[in-house]
Amino acid sequence: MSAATARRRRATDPHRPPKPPLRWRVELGRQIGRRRTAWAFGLLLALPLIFVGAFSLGDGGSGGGRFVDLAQSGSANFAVFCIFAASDFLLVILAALFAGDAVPSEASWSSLRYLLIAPVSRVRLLTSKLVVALGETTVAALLLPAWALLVGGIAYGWSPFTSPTGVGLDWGDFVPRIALAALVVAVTLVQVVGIALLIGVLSDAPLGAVGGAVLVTIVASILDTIEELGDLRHALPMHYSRAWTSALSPDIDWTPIQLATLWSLIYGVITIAAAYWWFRRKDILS
Amino acid sequence: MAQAPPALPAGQRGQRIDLPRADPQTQDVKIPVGAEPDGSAVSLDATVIAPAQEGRHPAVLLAHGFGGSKADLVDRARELASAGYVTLIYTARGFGASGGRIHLDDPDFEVADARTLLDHLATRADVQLDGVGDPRVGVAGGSYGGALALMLAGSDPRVDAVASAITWHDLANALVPGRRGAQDGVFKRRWASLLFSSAVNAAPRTTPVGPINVCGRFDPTLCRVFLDAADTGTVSPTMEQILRRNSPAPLLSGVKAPTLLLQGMRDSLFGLDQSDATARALTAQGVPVALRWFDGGHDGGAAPSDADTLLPWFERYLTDAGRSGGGEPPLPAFSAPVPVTGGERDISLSTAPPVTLAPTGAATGTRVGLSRAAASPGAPGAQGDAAGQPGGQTPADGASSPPPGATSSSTGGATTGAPTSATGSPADGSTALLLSPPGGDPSAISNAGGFGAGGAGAPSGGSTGSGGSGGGAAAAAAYALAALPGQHVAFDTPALADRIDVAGTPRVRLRVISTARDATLFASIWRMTPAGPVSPRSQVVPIRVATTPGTPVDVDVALPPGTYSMAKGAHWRVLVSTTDAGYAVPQDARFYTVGLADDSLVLPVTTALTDPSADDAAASGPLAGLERVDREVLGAAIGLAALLLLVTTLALVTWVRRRRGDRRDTRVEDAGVPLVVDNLVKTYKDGHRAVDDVSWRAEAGQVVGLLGPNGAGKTTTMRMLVGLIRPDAGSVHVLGEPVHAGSPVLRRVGALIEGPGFLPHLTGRQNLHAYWEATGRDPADAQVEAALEVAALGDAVDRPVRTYSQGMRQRLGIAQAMLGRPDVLLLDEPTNGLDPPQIAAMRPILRDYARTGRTVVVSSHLLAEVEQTCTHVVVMNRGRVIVTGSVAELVTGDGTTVITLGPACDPEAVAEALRESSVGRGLSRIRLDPAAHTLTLVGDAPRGDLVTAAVEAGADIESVVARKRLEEVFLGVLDHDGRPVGATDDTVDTDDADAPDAPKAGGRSRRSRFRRRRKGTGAGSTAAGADSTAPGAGATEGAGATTSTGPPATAGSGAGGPDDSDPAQSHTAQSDTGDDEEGRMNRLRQVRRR
Repeated sequence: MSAATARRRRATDPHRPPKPPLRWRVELGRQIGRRRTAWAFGLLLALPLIFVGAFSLGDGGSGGGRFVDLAQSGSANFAVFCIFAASDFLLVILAALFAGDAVPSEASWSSLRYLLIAPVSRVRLLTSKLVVALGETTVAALLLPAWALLVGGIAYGWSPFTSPTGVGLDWGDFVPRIALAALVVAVTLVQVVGIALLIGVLSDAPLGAVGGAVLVTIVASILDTIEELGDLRHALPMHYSRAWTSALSPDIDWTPIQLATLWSLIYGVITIAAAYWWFRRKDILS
Repeated sequence: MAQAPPALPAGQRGQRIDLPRADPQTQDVKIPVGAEPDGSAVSLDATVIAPAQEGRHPAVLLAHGFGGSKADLVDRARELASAGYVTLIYTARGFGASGGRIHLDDPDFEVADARTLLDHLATRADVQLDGVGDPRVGVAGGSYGGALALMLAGSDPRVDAVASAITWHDLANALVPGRRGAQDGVFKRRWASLLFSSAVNAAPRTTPVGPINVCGRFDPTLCRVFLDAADTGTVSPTMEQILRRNSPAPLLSGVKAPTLLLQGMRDSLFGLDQSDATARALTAQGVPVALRWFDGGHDGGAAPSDADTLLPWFERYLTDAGRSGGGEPPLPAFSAPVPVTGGERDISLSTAPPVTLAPTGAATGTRVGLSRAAASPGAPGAQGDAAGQPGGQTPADGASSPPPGATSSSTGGATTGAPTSATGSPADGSTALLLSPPGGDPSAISNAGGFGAGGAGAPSGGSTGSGGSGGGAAAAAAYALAALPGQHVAFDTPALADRIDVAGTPRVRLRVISTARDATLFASIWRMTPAGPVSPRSQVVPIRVATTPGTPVDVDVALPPGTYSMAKGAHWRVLVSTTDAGYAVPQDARFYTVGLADDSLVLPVTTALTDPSADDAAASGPLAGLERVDREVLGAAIGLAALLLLVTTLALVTWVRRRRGDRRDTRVEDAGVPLVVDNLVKTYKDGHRAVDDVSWRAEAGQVVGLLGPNGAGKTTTMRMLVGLIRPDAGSVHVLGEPVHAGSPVLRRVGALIEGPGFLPHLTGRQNLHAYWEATGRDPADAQVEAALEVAALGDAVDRPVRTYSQGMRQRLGIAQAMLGRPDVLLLDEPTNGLDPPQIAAMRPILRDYARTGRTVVVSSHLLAEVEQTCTHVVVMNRGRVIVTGSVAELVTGDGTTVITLGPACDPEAVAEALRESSVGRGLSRIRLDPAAHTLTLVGDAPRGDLVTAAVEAGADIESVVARKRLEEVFLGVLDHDGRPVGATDDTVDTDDADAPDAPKAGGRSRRSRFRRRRKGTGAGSTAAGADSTAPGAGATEGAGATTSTGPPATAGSGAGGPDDSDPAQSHTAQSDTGDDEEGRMNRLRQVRRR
C-alpha cells in the first residue's frame, strides 16, 4: 500500500483526525504574524547596525585583547562580537519572550480555552508552543551571526577571524565554527526557554514569564560572582553561557561545550517537565 | 622577610604553630647539633607530629625553605602524620628559634644537622626501624629544604625516600647561569640579593648595629663572599667553590633512595635545568626517579598537592605495604602539565625531554621558520614604537588604514615572513643593532616573580597556565617593559600550520657581533596576541658568549624550557634583549649586532597529547587537571540521563493510566446520549465550593438551559463539561466517552465559554480558519461560510478582530463554536453583548440546530431567555441543581398568582380570610410578604376566582401577576438569595416592534442587516417559537399587571404597564443591557424604585 493511499484512507476515515491538532506549522502561523515576533527579530537585526553606528561615533578605540577591541577588524570578528554582546542578555530576553509568552498570550486572548476544547490536548499544545519557541530561539541565535557577518563585511571588510589570543581562523574554518558557536548559544538558551515556559504556565502572565526568566538568569549571574560558592557555581543556570567561545579556539575545547549543553539540558528538562506536569493538571480559568 | 622566596607554595607559609589538642600528637623538642666554627653550641627547634595510632611508623623529615621556619610546615606535617608518618619538622640552623648561623646547606653543618635529626628519630619508640639506629625515613623539602633533602640522601644511607621540590642541582650554575666553556655566566644579582636580604631580615636586629651585623645570622665568611659578588656582579672563585660544595651535585653519587623531583616552570631562581641535571645523574646510577614539572615555582603559581605527589611516593617507598608490593614508581619518570584551552592536561614520558643544549648541538625537533619582526625597532633610533609590536598595536589602526583587505591583524607583518622595515639596520634588515647601555641601565624587566605576586609582570597565564591567557592590557605593558627601545630584537614565526605541543626547550641559533670581548644577551619566547605579545611564564635565559669585536659568533640559545601549547595559526616570537633587571649585566656601553644564524625555531615536540593512546594515560594519571572537569561532564551526563529516564517513565505511566482510565470510564450504554453529567463537585483553592454534586443529562434534539443567578456555578460546570477544569469528583460523558482535558470526544463538542477568544491580529475569517486548523481536522468539514452566516459580520469579517465590538466578537464566538456542526453545542451566556434583535435572531438558530438531532446547552441567568429558547432546563443555585425538567412541564402545572395589595387593607387579615374561603382551601400554598404587601397564592384555582375571593376578603388589589412553576422556582431561588429578581413579563416580539423606534447611533446598519436576514429566513420559526412559548408568556395572561419586578433586560416594554409609557426610553434601557452587568443591575434598581 502506497503512502498516498494510506494518507487518503486516513483523510477519509471519519473517526480519526487526519492530522494531529495544533501542528507545528499551525502554531508557527499563530506566532509568526504577531507584532511581538516582528519586534523581536527587528531588534535582533537592528543590533549589528546599532553597533556599526556606535563604533563610527567612537575614536577608533585604544586597542586591547577583547572581542570588542577586535570587532572592527572585519566581518568575522564583528559577527563574533555581536554574539558576544547579545548572548548574555538580548538573546536571553528573546528566548524568554518566545517561550514565556506563548501560553500566557493565548490565555490573555481567551483563545487558550478554545484551543484546549478544539480539542488540542494539553501536552500537544505545550509541545507545539515549545517547539515553536525553541525554533524561534534557534533561528534568532543563527540569524544574528549570519546577519552580523553580512553587516560587518560591508562595514569593515571581509578579513578572516583573529581571536583575542592571537590565533586566526581562515574562512573555511571559521564558518563552521561560528555556526557551532551559534548552536552552542542556542542550546545554552534551552534552559531559559524552559524556565520561561514554566513560569508562563504557572502565572498566565506574559510579562511575568519573560521577566521571571530574565530575573532567574540575572540572579544566577550575580551568584556566579560569589567566589565562596566555589564549584557549586558550575550548577548555576547560564554558568557556561560563554562556552560558545571555545568553539572559536584553534583546537575546539569540547569540555565547556559539553558542560554548557548538559547543564542547559538538565535545567531545560527539569523546567519543561515541570511545565508539562503543571499544565496537564491545571484548571484553565483564563 | 616579606620578599623571601616562597620555599614552599604560598599559603603554606606564615602559618602559626597551632598545636592540636587531639591527635595527631605533637611534641616540641630541642635537638642539640654540631657546634658552630667558633665553638658555640647549637640546638635546633624541632617538632615531632606523630600519628595517634600505637606502634611504630615510618618517619618523614620535613625541611623548610630559605628564610622560613618549621612553622611553615605544620600543616603538611599534620597531613603526613594523619597519613601514618611520624613527621619531624625543624627550623634550620641560623633561622627562627634554632641556634647557629646560616651556612647555606653546608654539608658540614646543615646536612650534618639533618643526620643528627635522623639519629633522634631512630631513638623514638614510635618510629619504625630498618636496623639499629636506622629509622625508616623519607626526607622532603622545597628549595633550601629540597637541596638539603638531596644532600642528606647523598650523605646518609639511612634515607629511604626523597621528595625534593624547586631546588638547585649546582648552586653555582643556578645563580650564575649562561656560562659557556671558559666564559663566565651571568650573575642572578637580584635573586642573590633577595636571598641575602631575606636571611638578614629574618634575624633579630640588635642595637647598636655593628659593622659585622650587616650579615645578620649569615656565616661571616659566606656573608663576605656573597656581598662581594653582589657588589661586583661577578662570582669570585672562592664563592664559586662554596656554591658548588653546598649543592646536591657532588653528593648525588651517594643517593640510593628513590627520589621524587618537582620543579617549577615559573622559576627564575632554580630553573628546570637544575632538576634535569639531578634527575639525569640519579637515573644514570639506577635510582628510581620521578621528575614532575608544574606550572609554578619561585615566581608564583600553585604547587601540586602532596596528595598527588609526595604521599604516593612515600607510600610506595616508606610503608611496608608499598615496599613489599614493589612494582613501578607511583609517578611517571617524567610528567608535566600542558596548557590546553580551559585547563591543562598531563603528559607523561619515560624520559624527560632535554632542557639544555645537547653537547653536540644537533637540534632535533620541529623547525618553524623565524624572521625578524617587521615593525620591530631594530635601530637605536626607532624609539617611537615602545611596545615594539609588529603590524600595529590595535585593531583601530587597521580600521583606519585605507584598503579594507589590508586591515592589520597584528600578525599581518609576520605572516609575510619578509622583513619590511630595514631602517637603521646595519645589514639586510634581518639583523639588528642593539645597544647594551652604560651601567646596564635602563634594564629590561622580564620577570617580577622574585618580588612576589602582584608585580606588574606577574605570571600572565593565570593559574591555568594556559600559556598566557592574561589580560590584554597587562600583557602589552609587560612586553613594553621587556622590550626596551633600541635594546632588543624580535623574531617572529609565521602562523603555525598545525598545533604543536612543546615539552622541553625551544632553541634558536643566533649570530652575534659584539663591540666588546663578550656578548651578554637575554632571550625569551612570547606568544603573539592582538593585545600584544604575551610571555607564557615570564621566563628569560641569559646568554654570555666570548667574542672577538667585529667578528660574528654563532650561538645556540636554549630558550626557557617548559611545556608550551602552540595553537594552529598562532604566531610566536623570540625576543633577544641586551639587558635584564634580574641579572648583573656589563657596565660598559656596547653594541651588538644580532641576527639569526639559522632562520628557524626548533621546537621539541611531544606527541603525548595528540597520541590517542596517551589520552588514556593522561586521564588515568594522578594529576590530570582535566579529570575534575571530566567528572563534571560525566556527572552532568548521568544526571541528565537519569532525569530523562525519570521523565519518560512518568510520561509513560501517565499515558498508560490515562488510556486505562478512558477505557474503564467509557460507557457503552450511554453512547447515544450526548451529554451526561454525574455528581460533579468542584471546590476552588480558596475553599469556595462552586459546584456541588451536580447531575443532569441532555438528550439529542434538546436545547437545555442551564439557568441560575450569577455565581450559581453555571460557568464552572460548563468548563468542566469540556475538561478545562478538573472536577474534584464526578464525571462528564459525551456520547458515552469520558471527558477530561484533551479528550478526543471533545471534537464533537463546540463551545463558547465565558466570552469568545480570538487572536487579535487576525481577521474574523482568519480566526475561524486558524481555529479549525488548530483542531487538525479536514478543512472541508468546517463549514466556515455557514458559521459566518450565523455571525453576520458583513464586511467586518475581514478586519482584525481587535477592531470588533463586543457583540461582534460574541457572534463570531458562537460561529466558532458551531464550526464543523458539533453534536453538542455549549453556549455560556450567548446573549451577552447582543442587542435584542440579535438575541431574537439567535433563538431560532439554536432551536433549528437542535432539531437536526444535535444538542444545545445554553447557560443563562435570564429566565426569559431560557424559557424562550430551551426545551429543557436545569436550574442551579449555589452550585446545586434545584430543578431539572422540560420547560413545557415546568411552565404548566401549578399556577402561581401574586397579588399586590394596596395600602387600604391589612394584608394579614386578607390572607387569613383567603385561607378560610372556599377557593383558598383549594390552594396548595398561601404566602404573605408583609413588607412588599404581596400575597403569593399557589394552586390550580382559576385566577379570576382567586381575585374575586381576594376582593371578597377585603383586599385592595393594586396588581395581579401570574407566574408559572419555573418562574416560582427561579424567583424563589433569587428571593432566597436576596438578589434582584428577574422574572419575565414579555416576549421578544415586542422588542421587534420597538426596535425601529430606537436605533442606537452607530449600531443601525449592523443591526438592521441582522434583522433583515433574520426576517428573511427566520420569520416562520420566530412565529413558531412565539407560539410555543405562548403559554408561558405571563405578560399576556396578566395583562396590564406588570409589576415593579420586571427585569429590564427583556422587559423593555411591558405593554400598557403603568411605568412604561415611553417605549423609546425603555428601549434605550434595554439596548444598554447585556453589555454591562453592572449597568443592568443599576437599571434594575431604578425600575424597582419606580
